[in-house]
Amino acid sequence: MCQRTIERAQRFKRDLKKLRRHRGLSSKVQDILSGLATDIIPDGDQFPGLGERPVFKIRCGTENMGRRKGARIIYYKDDLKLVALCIYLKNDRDNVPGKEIMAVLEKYVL
Amino acid sequence: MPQVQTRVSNSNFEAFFNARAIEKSLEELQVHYSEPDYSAMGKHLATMEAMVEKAATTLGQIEMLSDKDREDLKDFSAKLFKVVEMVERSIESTKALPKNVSWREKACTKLEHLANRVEDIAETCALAASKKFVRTIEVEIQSLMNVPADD
Repeated sequence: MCQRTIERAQRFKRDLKKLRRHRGLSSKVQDILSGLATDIIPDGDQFPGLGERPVFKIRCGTENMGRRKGARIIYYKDDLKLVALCIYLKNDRDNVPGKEIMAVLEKYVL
Repeated sequence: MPQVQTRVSNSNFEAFFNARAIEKSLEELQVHYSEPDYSAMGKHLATMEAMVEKAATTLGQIEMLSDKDREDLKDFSAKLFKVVEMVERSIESTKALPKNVSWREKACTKLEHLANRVEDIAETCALAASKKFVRTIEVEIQSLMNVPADD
């Protein structure tokens, strides 16, 4: 079993702190990062356009949120380490037209 | 080190992100929903899922994006979010089928998975299209790797 070190970027720590009101999210995030680091959980979708840097996005739901409206974790992963880069909450986008979602995403991620 | 630029015009990528192809597939899917037979719908859903996974894999293999590529990705993303809405409507109509339809629950589960995956790709495209997002990620990685940024 592959075992990578898990690191958390300052930004990730800051983002996660903002989401602390969501009960169970921190432990769920920890489970996911551990699973990803050991390849027990398959990687999320890899971002294009980042050269040879393997950066992925994966869903992270909790019992209250579900996966659709849950959080998204963006992470870097190579053979030695996994770095959690940022985490954001997928806003309830009911009745939000598709074009606006991109702006919402940028607002939450950037 | 020279880098090979994989364009968004990659055939796999285009095949999936061609809006007409997606919409056509979804229209076909709508027809199948109304049929009291899961086999055709199941087959179609499996095909759609395969297309989505192929597109996701292809997307991750693209190392560099031009400004034009990013514009295309932004457009694709908007279209994909519309596809998600269509699939969600289909989930609702499938849920509304009589309870004695044996495949109702199975179809809903598959549709929800499809909606999730299309949404995943739509989000990935939306973010990858943003230069600000890419720069933010690069800065985070560079700082963690303790390597000076290129510029």
